[in-house]
Amino acid sequence: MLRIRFHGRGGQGMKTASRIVGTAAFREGYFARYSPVYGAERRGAPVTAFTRIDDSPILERRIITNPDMVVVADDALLDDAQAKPLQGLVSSGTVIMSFTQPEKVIRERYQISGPLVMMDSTELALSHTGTLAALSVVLGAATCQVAGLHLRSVEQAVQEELDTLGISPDQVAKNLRLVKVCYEMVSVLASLQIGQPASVTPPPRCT
Amino acid sequence: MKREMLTGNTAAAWGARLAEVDYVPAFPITPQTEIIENLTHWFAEGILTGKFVMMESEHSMLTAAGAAAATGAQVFTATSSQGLLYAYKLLYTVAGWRVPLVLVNVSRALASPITLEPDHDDILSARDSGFLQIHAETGQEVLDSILMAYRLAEDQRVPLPVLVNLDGFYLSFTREPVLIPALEEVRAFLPPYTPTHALFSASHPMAQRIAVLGGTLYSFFKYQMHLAAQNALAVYPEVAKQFEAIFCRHYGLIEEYYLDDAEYVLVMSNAFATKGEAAVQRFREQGIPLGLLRLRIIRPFPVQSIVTALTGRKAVAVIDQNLSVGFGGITYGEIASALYGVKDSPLLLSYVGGLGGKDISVAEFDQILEDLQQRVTTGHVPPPRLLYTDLEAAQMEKFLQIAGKEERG
Repeated sequence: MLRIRFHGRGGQGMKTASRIVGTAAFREGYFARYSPVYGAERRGAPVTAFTRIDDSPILERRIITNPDMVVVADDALLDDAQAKPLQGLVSSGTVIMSFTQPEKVIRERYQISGPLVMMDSTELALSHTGTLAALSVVLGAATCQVAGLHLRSVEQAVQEELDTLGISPDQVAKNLRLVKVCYEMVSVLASLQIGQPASVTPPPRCT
Repeated sequence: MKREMLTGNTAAAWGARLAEVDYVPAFPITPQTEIIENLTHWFAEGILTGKFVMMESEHSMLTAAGAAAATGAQVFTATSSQGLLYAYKLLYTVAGWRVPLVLVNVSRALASPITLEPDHDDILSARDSGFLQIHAETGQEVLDSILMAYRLAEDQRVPLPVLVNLDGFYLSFTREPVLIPALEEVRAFLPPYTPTHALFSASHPMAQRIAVLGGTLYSFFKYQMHLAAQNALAVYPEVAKQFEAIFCRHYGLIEEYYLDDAEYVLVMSNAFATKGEAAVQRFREQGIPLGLLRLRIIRPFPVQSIVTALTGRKAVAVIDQNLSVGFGGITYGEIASALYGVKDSPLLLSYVGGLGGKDISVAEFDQILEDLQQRVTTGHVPPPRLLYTDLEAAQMEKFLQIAGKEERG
């Protein structure tokens, strides 16, 4: 099972990012389960979301204490005593984050030994879509690529999730172009491959 | 039929949509609101053609729901936690009207202290009201149970309203794969409701909800409700069989997980049962014959099914995600009463956990298993254990220090 934990602040799109990754995996034939955690809903407050992907039915719910991968939308959260995004990360686990500091600084300061994927999320989101809401797409797409999901599944997932949110077709098109850009910026980390997608079996025939 | 990623709430809304309900009176409350958000969209788009009314409270909501059902309309509504308690008086009142509405409750722990996350103190407080209760573990089961609930509620041997329960957050806001059945299949299973007991018909006046003075009348009607609820135990398997014939999914009065050869059994309900199933898998890999009984139909209480499933086991741990203050776990008491005097009944231990959405960790399941194995040797049954980890206790200690309350009373 691949366990991914997303950290951000209310409004930064981490709930949507977790849905993009879960839906992309589902469209590819995997089992997926994902849910967010937030207190009283308010912008700027820490938000956590969890996505699990597996090739068999998932017997876990909600809190992921030992993620294989953490995705951090706001590097200021790394010092947040409540959010603690890196807590419980498996040894050599993967970190995907928006950067405002050099990789070396981040690695040393937070003792990150595993793969570290840094995305200039704010710049990418603003230059392609004109809105920071696209952080969800930047980090969602990067996570999907790192996890080895196909571009087509991710495009489909982004289309579905943004449609659900009532985003205009014009804006969705910009986000889809952004998906491609992000996909080309990062590479698949083979260690995170989830195994074969479960064959989407038709429902059992009634006897 | 299509397979989609749905939250538990959206699965509940799909249940109401596929049942093609006539009337939805609603009032929002976290974590239930997404159910009525979905329904308002479908009413606005004309996919649902009945009537949606936003009420000013849960008290009015359930009054409207019961009154509409008494005219013969097929009614759906949903609430949670404090909302259910605000409508509490109406639960008893409407159940006594013997009208077949379906009410979804999204479990959320009760104030005080106030919180958003789930336990079952809300839904179980309604266990004596006359509403039947179905508790669901997955999004699929939520959708399916709403369809089955209408069949059960509308059966002439039963006529009683039904509560369908799902856990807040762990299921309400959790997306997982759900098969959405085709409308034609649902229509084959759940034909349009034709009321015979309570209905409005021009020139055919009907006296409903009249006052009865004197215990003879009152007792008669109350006993009728109890016997009708008992009838549901016989009606349910018929409904489940027809459901399976059309949709190929079976749901029992209780759900059995690796029970066949189990010497030790966990009893759980709702979404946390998934964590129990993971524990069963883990212990089975170690060669320990553990199984899980999931309570699904809680009213009527399926005494016979529970007795059959638990008799002959070595030891059983009932994990209640509720706390009857001053007593302990509610379902523990009910299961103990079911097993009273039964030959070969197992050692029965009580645990309270998952209150206010507190996780039940791997370490806690380990402790429970250790207890079960130990107690079989000693035969001693301790008072209910309140699950809390050392880490949680240490964190709590810090909070108490911050609050200047380190000296606990």
